[in-house]
Amino acid sequence: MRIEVNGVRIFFDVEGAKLVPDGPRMREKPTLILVHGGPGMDGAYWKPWASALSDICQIIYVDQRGAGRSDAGPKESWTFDQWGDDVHAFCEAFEIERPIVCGSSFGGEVAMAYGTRHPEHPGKLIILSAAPRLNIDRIAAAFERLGGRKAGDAARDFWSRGMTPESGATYARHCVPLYFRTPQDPHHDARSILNADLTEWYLRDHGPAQTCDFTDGLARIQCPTLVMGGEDDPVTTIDDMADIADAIPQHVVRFERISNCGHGPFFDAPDRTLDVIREFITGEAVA
Amino acid sequence: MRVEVNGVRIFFDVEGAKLVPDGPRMREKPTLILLHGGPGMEHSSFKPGFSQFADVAQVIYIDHRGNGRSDRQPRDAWTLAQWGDDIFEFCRALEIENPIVMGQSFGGFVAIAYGTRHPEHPGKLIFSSTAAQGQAHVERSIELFRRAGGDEIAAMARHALTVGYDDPEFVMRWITQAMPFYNTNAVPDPDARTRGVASGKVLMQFLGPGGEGLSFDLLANLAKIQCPTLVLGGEDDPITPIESSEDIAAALPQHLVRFERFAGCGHGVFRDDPRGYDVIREFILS
Repeated sequence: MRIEVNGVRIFFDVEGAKLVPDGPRMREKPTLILVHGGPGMDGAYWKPWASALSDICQIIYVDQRGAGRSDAGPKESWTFDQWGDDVHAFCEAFEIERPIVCGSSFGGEVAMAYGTRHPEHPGKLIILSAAPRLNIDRIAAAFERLGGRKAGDAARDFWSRGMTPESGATYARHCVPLYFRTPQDPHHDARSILNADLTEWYLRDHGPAQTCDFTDGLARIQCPTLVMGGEDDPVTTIDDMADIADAIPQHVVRFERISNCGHGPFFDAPDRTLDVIREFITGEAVA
Repeated sequence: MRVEVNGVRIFFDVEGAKLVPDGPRMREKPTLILLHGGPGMEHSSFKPGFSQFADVAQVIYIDHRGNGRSDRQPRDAWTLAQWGDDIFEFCRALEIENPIVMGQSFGGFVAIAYGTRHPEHPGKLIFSSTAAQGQAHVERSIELFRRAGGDEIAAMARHALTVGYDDPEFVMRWITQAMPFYNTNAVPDPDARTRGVASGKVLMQFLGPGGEGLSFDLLANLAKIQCPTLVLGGEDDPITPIESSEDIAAALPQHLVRFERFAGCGHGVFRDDPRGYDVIREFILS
């Protein structure tokens, strides 16, 4: 399905009923909105992993503007402010109240944009493998630790000067394979819709990847927030995740670091990530 | 969730993803839109039974305008034409293409209105325990209520079907005394009624004296249908007798219709016989 939001048609998929029969009443489950990463990828990679949560929430998978099956809209609107506002406006269009908004990687940054611009709106936030701003030294050091000097240099070049066809190819060869600690579903890429325009726009010199900084805004977060990342994630490092957790009011934040885990964190640690999220949503320990 | 359709906010719920990972591709499932009966009831009457189709379809439950969690006003728009157009506009608003639209009882009236007003739109239609005319088989219906419940119930049926639901007290008597005879074998769920958000006003307007429910006639329009259509009826259904389903099946283009009649079953054959669900599943997959 698609719905008009802020002048563009936004694709979304839904899994799990909102209302379920429970004796004499219809029990209402919370709405979990999943905001995918990339940018330039779509929401396909959440499945089937996230489907396991459909018993405790109604899951809504959203493709951001410019991504997947959503309209591209004008390039000038490919900003964090707009992506964050789109999440809010999407909820308003459907009267979704107190959503749990979960973003991973770039989607985690969109979730931060949404949460800091509309702090009264979310019921909960889940930020997976994201960074509050670009910290090139950390990224280069993490890639060098995992892949040696070549990977470290490629990462520094890629993230500091804006993506070029050459730096992109070098990064894809030396760095992307280091994102994960475990073998991934070989069909992931084939199932995804890629938009190279958006990736280039985002990673261009002085583009959103280089200029975004959520550090100060995170103090405005008011709702329970789960921050979770892998200790071996080279691109949104665990220190970046710790910075996010530090910047959010301490009485609402929960920080989970997962060992032997790269970028995701559900790619490398699907069961552990599910357990933590399930516990965060329900407030009950997972047996 | 609710979404704006033709000037009112329409409640809908969704079960089952539209796109599912299947090796190197995302496989697309059809969309099954369920239209509840009544009027004055709401979508929850389909739960949990129809959740079982979430593996083969994206199931969408809608509360018609004036019903359940959808907007109630304006009352003059409580017509089959408007309810049918709402289904079409709902799909347009959300870019749902080739939906399988299933209407149960009153929801079937709406499905007929939708399908005959927008014949190019649906992928498939399912008319379940419904009728295309308000007054076609009144005496037969009264006789079936007499057989199932005796003279007092038959008298109530005569009042309901000829005069209409003219006061709230009669509606309550109907619900508690006559409705139990709608089905032959269904396991009563005492909680089902309290789970729903009831709306007596829309019931009494549509099925009250002079209401559209007692006079509508869409039978001839069924010739306009262009998509595969499943007609389900129970041979012991007193409120929409099997003759109503026969009429529908006969009025549809014959190369598109599949008519399944269930012996020993009442209103909503799947409630009395789980094979009703099997037939629906098979039709979705066909």
